[in-house]
Amino acid sequence: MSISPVELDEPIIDEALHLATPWITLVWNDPVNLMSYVTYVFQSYFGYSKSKAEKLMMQVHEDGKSVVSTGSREEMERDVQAMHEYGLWATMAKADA
Amino acid sequence: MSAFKKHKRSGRCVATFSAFEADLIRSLAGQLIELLHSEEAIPRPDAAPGSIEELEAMLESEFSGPTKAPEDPVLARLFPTAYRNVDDAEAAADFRRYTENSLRQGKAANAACLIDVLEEAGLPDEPEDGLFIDVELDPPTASAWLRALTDLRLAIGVRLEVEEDDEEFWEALEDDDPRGPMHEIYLWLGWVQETLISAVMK
Repeated sequence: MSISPVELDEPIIDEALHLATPWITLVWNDPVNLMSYVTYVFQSYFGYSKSKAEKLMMQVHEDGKSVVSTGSREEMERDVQAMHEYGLWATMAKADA
Repeated sequence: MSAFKKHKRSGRCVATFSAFEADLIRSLAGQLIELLHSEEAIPRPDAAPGSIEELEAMLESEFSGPTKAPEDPVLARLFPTAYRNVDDAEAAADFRRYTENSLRQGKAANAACLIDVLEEAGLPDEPEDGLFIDVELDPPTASAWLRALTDLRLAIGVRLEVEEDDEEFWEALEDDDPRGPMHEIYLWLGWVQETLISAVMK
């Protein structure tokens, strides 16, 4: 009698994708930028809907900061640079930091 | 000045400035451009014009840039440190080296766009009373104006040390305080920008 061979689990692809820790772009509150302008930037650069852009803007305004995008380090460097072009105060960090 | 409005058929944002207002924006934009060219971190060795050393310095500046935050508080605000964690100091220096020069150029180009549009719309070197300047901004130009107005407001706001909810402080300012008129200009630029945003978003 033999035990039927153990079936190998399918490789879990998700895990491979998460090997690299994602990075985040943070936008910080500042006393100068207009609320309408911050919303405009989130809509025009990220292509977010008006309601999502306004929600993120309110987070910046009320909590002092908001995560506005997530992705690879290179992508976040591009986003941070774009935010600086628009005059927003943005930084990037590892998502778990 | 009239608020910006969107012209329905052309999709352009239009407004009329008095010559005084247009001249004020031109002067502020000129000062910003000058500031953006200051503290240029590109090392400039005393190379003789046309020498190999000069060529090397030019090539170097193409591929390199500053690694430390600018000392001037306005420039430090315009070019913030991208990585906040202390552990990422090296990455922050690299980010600055590869981005700050092009960010400076982009901001100077946006400020120059403010000046160019006003002058093309008829702002003379020495404006006289009673003259009005009609500007018409197509979408890319409106976007450059929004960014340039932001940079002007950031520059003045940092110099004045503007804070959130500080209206009472500015209202209580002595009449002869030189910060008063600058703060009025700061608020006015905010209003100009606000009307341009709502026109663009229409």
